[in-house]
Amino acid sequence: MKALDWISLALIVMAGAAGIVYSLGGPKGSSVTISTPKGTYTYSLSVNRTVELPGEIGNFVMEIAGGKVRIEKSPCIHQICVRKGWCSITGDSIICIPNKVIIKIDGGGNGVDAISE
Amino acid sequence: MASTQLANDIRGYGELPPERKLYLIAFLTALSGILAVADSFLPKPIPFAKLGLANLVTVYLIAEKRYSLAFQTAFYRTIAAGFVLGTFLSYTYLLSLSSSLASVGMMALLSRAGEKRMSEAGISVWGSFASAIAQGAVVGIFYGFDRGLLMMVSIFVLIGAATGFLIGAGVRHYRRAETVQ
Repeated sequence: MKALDWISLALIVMAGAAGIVYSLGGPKGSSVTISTPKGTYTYSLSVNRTVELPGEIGNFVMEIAGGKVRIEKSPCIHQICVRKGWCSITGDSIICIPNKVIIKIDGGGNGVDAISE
Repeated sequence: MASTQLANDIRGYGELPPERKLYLIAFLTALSGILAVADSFLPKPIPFAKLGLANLVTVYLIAEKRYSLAFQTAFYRTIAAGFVLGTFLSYTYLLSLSSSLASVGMMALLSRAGEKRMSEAGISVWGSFASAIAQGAVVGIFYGFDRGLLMMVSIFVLIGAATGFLIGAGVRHYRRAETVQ
C-alpha cells in the first residue's frame, strides 16, 4: 500500500462521517404542523404541552417539551411513530400511516434543504 | 494455466483478432455478472449495500490499464445481472448502471493520473466513493435531496470505503501473486 491509499481511505471515511454528523444536526424547528383527516393543527415548540388529537383510527397523544416533539401514545399496530421518539430539527417529521397522521417540524424558513414528496 | 492465458489476453487486448476480443469481453462480462448475482444473494445489513464482488473484475482491468474493456464489461454486466435478477430497466437497474459507470470513470481517471502514487486499493476506494455519490444523485433526482438522503449516502460512502478497500487489496494481492509466478 502507498501513502496516497491510506490518505484516500482516511479522506473518504472523514467525508462519510461528516455527512452523517451533518445530516443528524441542523437548525431547530420553531413550530409543528399536524395533519390528520380530522383537521390540521399548528403548535409552537417553545411551549411545553401534551395534547390528545384525533386520527383516522383513534386519538393519539402528542407531547411537546423543551423544543422537541414526539408521539407518546398511538392506537396504531406497529407503533413506528412512537418509536421514532423525540424530533426537533426543521424538516423532520413523524408519520403514522395507519392513523393517517403527519407531524412536520417547521422552522424559520431557512432550515429546509428540500422537500421530497 | 487458464488464468495465465486470460491475463495474457487482457494484457495483449489491442493485438487480439476481433473474434478473440469478443470472446474476451463475453467471458469477462459473464464472470463479473456471476459475481454480481452472487453478491446480491449475500446477506446485507442495509438494502442496496453490496460487497461489490463484480468490481474485482473491473478493478483488475483498470489496474491493467484496459479502460475500454473495463467500461464495456461494467456496462454489459449491469444488463446481464439485470436480466438474471429481474431488475432490468427498473429503478434498481438505473442505480446499478449509474454507480457502475461512475465508479469505472473515476477509477480510469485516477489510474491514468497517477498509478505510480496510488495502488489498486486506493483507486478502488475512490471508485466506491464515486459509486455512492452517483447512487445518491439518482435517488435525489427521483425523490429529492434532503437530510435523509445525505445520511444514506454517507453510510454508503463509509461502507464503500471498507468494501472498496477490501476489493482493491484483493486485486492487488492477486496481481502480485501472478507476477511472482
